[in-house]
Amino acid sequence: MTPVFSWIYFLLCLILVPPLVLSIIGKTKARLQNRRGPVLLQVFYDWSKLWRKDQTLSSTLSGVFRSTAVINTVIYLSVALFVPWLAQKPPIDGDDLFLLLYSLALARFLCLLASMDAGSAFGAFAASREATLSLLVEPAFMLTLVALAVCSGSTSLSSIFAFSINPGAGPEVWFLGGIAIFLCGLVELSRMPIDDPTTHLELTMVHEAMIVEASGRNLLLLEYSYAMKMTVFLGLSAQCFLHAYFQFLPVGAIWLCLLSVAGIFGLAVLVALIEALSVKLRWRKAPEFIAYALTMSFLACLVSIAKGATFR
Amino acid sequence: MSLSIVEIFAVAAALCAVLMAGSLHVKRNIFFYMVQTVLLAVVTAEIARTDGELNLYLIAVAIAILKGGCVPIFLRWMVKRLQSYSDPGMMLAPPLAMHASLLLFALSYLELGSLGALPGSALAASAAASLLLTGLILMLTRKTALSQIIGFLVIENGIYLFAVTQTSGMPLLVEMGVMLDVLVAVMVAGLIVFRIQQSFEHIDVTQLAELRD
Amino acid sequence: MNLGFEFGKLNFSATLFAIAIFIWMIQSVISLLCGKKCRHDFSSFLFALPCILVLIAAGASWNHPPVSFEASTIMFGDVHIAEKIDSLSAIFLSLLSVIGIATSAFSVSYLKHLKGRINPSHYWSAISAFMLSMCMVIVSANAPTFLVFWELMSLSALALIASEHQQEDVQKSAFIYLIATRTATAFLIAGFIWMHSIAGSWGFDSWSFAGKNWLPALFIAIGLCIKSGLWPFHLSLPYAYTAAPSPVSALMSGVMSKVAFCAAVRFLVVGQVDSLVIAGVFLGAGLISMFWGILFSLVQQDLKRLLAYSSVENNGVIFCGLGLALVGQAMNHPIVSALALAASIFHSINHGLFKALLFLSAGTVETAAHTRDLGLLGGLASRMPITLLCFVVGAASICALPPSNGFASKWLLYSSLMNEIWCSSELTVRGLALVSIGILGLVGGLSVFSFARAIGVAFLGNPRSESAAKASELGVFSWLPQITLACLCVILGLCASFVTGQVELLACATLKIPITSTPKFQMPMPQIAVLFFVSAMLVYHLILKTSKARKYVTWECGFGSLSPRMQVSSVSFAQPIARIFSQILRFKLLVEIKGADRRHFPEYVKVEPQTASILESKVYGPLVQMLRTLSDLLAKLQAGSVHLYLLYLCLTLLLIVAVGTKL
Repeated sequence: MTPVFSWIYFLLCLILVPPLVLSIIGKTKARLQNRRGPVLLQVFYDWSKLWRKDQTLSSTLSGVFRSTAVINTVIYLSVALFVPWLAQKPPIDGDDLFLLLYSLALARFLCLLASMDAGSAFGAFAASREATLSLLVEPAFMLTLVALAVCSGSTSLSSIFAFSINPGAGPEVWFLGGIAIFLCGLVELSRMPIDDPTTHLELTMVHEAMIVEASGRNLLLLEYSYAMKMTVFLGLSAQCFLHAYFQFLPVGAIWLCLLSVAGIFGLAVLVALIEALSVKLRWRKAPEFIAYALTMSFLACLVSIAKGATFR
Repeated sequence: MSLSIVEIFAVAAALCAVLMAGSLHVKRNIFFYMVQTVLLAVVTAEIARTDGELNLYLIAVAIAILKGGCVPIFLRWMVKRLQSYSDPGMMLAPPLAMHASLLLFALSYLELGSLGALPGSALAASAAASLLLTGLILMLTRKTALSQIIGFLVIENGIYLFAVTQTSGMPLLVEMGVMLDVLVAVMVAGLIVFRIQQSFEHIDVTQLAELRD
Repeated sequence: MNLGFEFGKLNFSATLFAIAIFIWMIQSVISLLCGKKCRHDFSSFLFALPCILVLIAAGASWNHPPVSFEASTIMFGDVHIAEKIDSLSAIFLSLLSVIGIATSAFSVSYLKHLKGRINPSHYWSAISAFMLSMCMVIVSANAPTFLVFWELMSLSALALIASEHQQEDVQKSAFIYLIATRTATAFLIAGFIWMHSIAGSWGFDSWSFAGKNWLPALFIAIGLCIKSGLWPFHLSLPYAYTAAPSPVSALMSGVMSKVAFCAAVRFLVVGQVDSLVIAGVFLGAGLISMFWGILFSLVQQDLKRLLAYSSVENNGVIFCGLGLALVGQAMNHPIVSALALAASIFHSINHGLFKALLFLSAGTVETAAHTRDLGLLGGLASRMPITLLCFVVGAASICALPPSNGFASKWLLYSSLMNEIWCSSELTVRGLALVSIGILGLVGGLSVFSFARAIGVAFLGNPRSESAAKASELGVFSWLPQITLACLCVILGLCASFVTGQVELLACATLKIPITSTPKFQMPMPQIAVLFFVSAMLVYHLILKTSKARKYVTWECGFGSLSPRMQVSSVSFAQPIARIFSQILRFKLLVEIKGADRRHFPEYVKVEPQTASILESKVYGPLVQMLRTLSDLLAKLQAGSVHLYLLYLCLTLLLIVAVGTKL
């Protein structure tokens, strides 16, 4: 595939997929609840409305709050640039898996500060919950990626996720890794069953309460970075499943492109399905759910160290 | 290293047990138990296919129907009767119990990996050992009598898996006898649990220590 | 005063070093003589000057053959003072001098604002002696020199901790620190004497810990673990760092614990330890202390105590790297040991910088707001923006967030663990390396939590007390050192690929392994940072700045007034985590509700969280109690009667005679 085509494909996906993922989740959920639901372009309409609106800022806020939205957007954009969430990606240096993890941590750190900046208890409690969840998820996500890295003999994400006929990781590692990353994504993005993003009750929400002070374009930036983060997580998970499939049946580059986008949308439908079918867990039960993600990553690690060859 | 079908299904069954340790929800545990037992039936059928023994086919069907069908149905009925949908748990928190059983899984792989007498069953032996140990963990970390029964059934599955993969099964008669025993044991245990519920108004086994004097 | 230095024969760096030591010595004496007339700015200058000299000396001897020099006129038998400046000591000397310069400037503003709570002459005298002894410990080349200055270092640190000795908690802290440092020295002396009897020499160069000599190495290792405050010997750290004046805490945490690490590298790595026991001790203690330290830092109410516990965590990271290097040495994986040693050396430099920065910022907050209690701080962001910025940079570095220096050193550690997995074919080793990676990840998450909490509660939101509302920046002497250290953190992070390359060379030289193709830190940090900065500016100017903004109150559900007391407190912020790890933290919520209708209209509600250290209550408490009972028993021997003492004497003589004749 030519570099020009791969850039065009990548940029198209970067612009279109994040809002479409949110739309698909909303639409599927509505259909499952016997509602007609919003049109597929609803997220675009919402965002354009946010673009036109003025901001309301609390007088307590310091510079931390305003810079957070900007920095987070840039972080998630660069994460999207570095992480191979699509099968085709323009090659860029520095796509180390630890850099990815710690960039996400940087974004989270700023988010936590921003939500405590206004001096309201809503944002701060949400920040506390968010930090708790993500710190429990951190080892699971890290170990999953490390398990894949152990098999491929490199910590560079593009070589871990490179499609080759004879890769280090077998289908079972990819499969377990896919499940683990999907579960981690559910927690990191505070979706069901950890948090119900539609309740709009400040006292229990996680993500929504953290951005309760944001408005106008500030909110737009935060929403966009959230959608971007979701796409990257679902994309990574879809890539894992795609790799597991690829081990049995290698396919061409064009097919891989189509399948990765289809995989992201498929997982979005799965998220909606889970949201429609399950109830929100009690806060104290959340660690039990996260434990499943951790178990999956442990299993991936076990298989990878039992099977993975020594490289040096 | 390529896995035989027996090994894949045996490991999957062991993983079901590991997942059971992570949940206090009794119905979910029963579901996982059912999946696990059906997987064992598949293992038995596969061994029957490779060894060409008809007896084992019968046993596989019996397992699927009796242990994979009747026992879970009976247990679910008991859950409904006793209104005990979730276990309070004790000693280890469920996430930790799950990770402990995962650790035991790894340990049994390390220690018992070479125990497999028959070719292509090395992992199955460690899966059997891990089933046994996870069953013990289940019994250790659960409080109600109902969950204890489930834990016991998991242990029984482990013993069966070990027998069937390492000795290619016992005679049909013995096997059937054991299976009937299990069925009867579950029934009897269920009856006893009902009696406990009636006399003490709870099925918390930790409080049975009061019966000492 | 002729100490046998013949200046003609000394080379450039040794001369500078000797001059610096003399200046500190003179300052230490003069400050003590001056008494109350001791002037801060002059003392500070006199203190910073040798730091600069040492920095130049260190720079000159970097990547040069080691320079040895001896003061041979001070001799007792074969015991004499000997020093050696090599690249390893140069790197620690430069850390020491950078932090020394920063603290010398900061001390001026700090002491002025404390207005006579600390006696300046004692302070400057002790701190000069402290610096002098740390310098000498770093470069010492034989055991007696090491021990003499090690003792001087511990005692001057003690004097500094006890600066405000009128307060009772300071007395207690100083006492606990004293016990810890005594024990450490006892272990070290035992190990040294043992090694002397084996090697027949006091010089470190002739000591080899390979093979059967791992037992004395274990003694030395334990002594160094106690000194640097690894689990389970970390209890002295929170006490000492909290009680000491902030600049001293910065020096102690930033430099003194690194001196212990430097000694560990000098003895154990250079001494070719190839025992897995020692490696396991460091690795295990490192892993546990990083988890333990950060977990306890999460529930602390006192800003400096929080930083002290996070020092425990970082010392854990450093010693974990050292342990891994020893594992690599024992299992003959040169890539792993080179990477791990480079990681721990680099992390110790980084930790020195950002922890000193954080302590200086905490000191600024303390003097400006007159409290360190997180429950009384808040809202400092608008009035102390520079301190906020510096604290954020320090926190980001300590959480290893890119592009800070902390990220580079953590990456090296991760990379060495990954290489251990790739090198080793043993399943257990691979599994343990994976578990270590998992623990490091968890610790990373916990430190983000802990520092976000510290910043959020101390700097953001509304002030929780009068004094916090009136706080303001302290002036140029307080913010300039902070900014300098913050810039150093960022610069080291941006130049990470160059710096780590140099440190890897040093590690290879220290390990005496041929410089093979060790994996390098190859991320183009400067490019990423520039790209990042430009795009952030673009996003800000194109999107955010062009839209209109209107000021309004914080959202409070239309309830009306949002008082500062309704903000989240430091305790409630940490509660979810404290609850999950309640077994370790001994976390309890004591709830007391009173009133006629308790459920609906409580008249009095009191919720008090409680955490306790298991070690303190379950291990050290009983130990102290046991010691006390034993000493009570011993005290009975001393009845005060002369006749009884004569009887003791007689009995002892008889015993000696009996034993002597038997032999």
